[in-house]
Amino acid sequence: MAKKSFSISSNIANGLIDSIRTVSSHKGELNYEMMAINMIEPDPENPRKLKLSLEDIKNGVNKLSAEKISEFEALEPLIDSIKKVGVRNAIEVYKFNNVYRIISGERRWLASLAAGKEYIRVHICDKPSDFDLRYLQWIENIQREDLSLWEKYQNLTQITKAYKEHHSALKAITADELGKILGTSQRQSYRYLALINAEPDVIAAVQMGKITNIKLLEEVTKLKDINTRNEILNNLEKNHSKNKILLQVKQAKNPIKSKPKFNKQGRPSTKINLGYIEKQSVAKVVFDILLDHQSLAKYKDQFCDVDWASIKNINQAFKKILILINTDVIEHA
Amino acid sequence: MKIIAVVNNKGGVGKTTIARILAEYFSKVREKRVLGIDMDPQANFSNRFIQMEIDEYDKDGKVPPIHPYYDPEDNEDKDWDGRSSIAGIFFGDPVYPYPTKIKNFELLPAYSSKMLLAEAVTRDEVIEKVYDQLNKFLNLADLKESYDMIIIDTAPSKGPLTRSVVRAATDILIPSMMEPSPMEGTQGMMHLWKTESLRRDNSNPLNLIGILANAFDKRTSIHKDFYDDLKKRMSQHVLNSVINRRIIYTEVDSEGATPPSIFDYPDSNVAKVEIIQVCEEIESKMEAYAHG
Repeated sequence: MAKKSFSISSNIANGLIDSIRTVSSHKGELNYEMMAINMIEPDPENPRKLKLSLEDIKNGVNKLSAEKISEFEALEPLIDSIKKVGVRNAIEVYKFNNVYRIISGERRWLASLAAGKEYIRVHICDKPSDFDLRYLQWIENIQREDLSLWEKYQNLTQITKAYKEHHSALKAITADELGKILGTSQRQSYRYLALINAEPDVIAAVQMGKITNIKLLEEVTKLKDINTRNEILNNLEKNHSKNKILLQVKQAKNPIKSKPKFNKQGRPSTKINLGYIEKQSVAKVVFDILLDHQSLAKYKDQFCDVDWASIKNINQAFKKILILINTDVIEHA
Repeated sequence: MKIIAVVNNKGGVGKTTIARILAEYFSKVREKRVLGIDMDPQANFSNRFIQMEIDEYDKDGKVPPIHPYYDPEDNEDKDWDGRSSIAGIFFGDPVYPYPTKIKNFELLPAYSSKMLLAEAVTRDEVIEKVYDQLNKFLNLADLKESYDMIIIDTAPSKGPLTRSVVRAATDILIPSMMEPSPMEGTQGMMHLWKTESLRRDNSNPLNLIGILANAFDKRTSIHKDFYDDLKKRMSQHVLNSVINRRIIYTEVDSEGATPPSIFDYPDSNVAKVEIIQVCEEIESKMEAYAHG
């Protein structure tokens, strides 16, 4: 009988080796814990400031202002689901002095509190650099529809400031770079860039909530004359419809003048267009006139089988004869 | 302070024997201040050092004896029934280590029924508290100052109690027999080590001392083949020294055995030589981790 031999089952061996490899390459990366909610605070520099605060939730909803109540109502579905199943996706926090600050998940945190939870699942991250922090908050925020333009502006200025500090050689940020940071389309990046670079009066209008739409903002920033801008901004205050304002802005950009001067545009012409004819019969007449000319009579044979009913055929014939004339004239010149 | 957890969710692989050997080695041979903790509701580890009593409410369970320092007349002890166990950390009861016959070695025994309660929790928040409780307890300043080394014996399970041990430990040792089903338990523990390592802060790693082959019989081909296979696949994490199958380990575990400890045998005793070798390898592995 052959000597008996044994080896560890391949499942077990794979499991053991997987554990060793994972630990050696990803140690510390999944720092998850249940954390007491009162150990956690929102990041005061997160530009998307919830109007509701910890105190509001603690003091009870009936004392809230109308604004806060509407925010609370928006939070209610989340609160209900947290009551039933808890927070399934951990919020991200980093250690800040004796507490933990939220990188992402402010609403989940607040809703857990409102749901009466004492603990929440957290993913403890290393303290991100300013740039990474704004970046992460931006990623979290950009997906939210209820972020106001003003909040976007604050977020953007902080992220670009941090980005510039990160890349000291950089003088001004371009739309391309902005697109790379934010992962937005080129069109949208240009709009965000317009927001960042907007004049103070436009920003003031954003802050006061007069301009809430980024497309409108982009149009307004194109108005270089401060008086025109003022007029538009004042109209905005009167709550004109968005379309009407957009039309006004467009008119302000391209004012219709009483006698528009002809303004030659485009590249200078280098070729002569001989025009168009609609009827085959007319084409035949023109062609016959050409061939009757003494200098062209020698080509007559080449065109004896043109099908004068086919537009394609006629076009080819004209093309050919023009080339021949062209060569002749150039040769003689 | 080092905290060694002896873990394997397969029963009967030698966890308690090895926890006991380590506790005795560090206290008797290395003269360190050692605290033993019994996290297994079966309370076998406790029973090796103090006389555990049958729980009068649960004849299967064990309770620790009345603490020698308990004084029913003393006003300070009036809220205490005189028994103390590691289970106290889950219920807010007083936790006082018991002295043992070994100098430098104190013990926090198990309390079967209370530990089974902690093991049975299911609610998310409560489970997390159980996971964290031992860690919090072992981080208490006066505890850290009182001991150099903590040795924890665990239950043959992957439940909340074992999780709490893994969370609190600085180093883990996985004893296993070189046989199929203990190897499955070993894999389970390696997985637990993995999840805990991913969860931890990098400044506070959970060091894997390694897999220790126990009850080894070099004449048995499956033992030898398994060991060689393991060594080939993950040599760093398998201890070079092994504990061979010997009746002497059972003998010293029996009540009233003389001598009472393997370390009380003459230095020439082959079992003692083997055990010292194992303990020294464990110690040097831990030191290697401590120095990066």
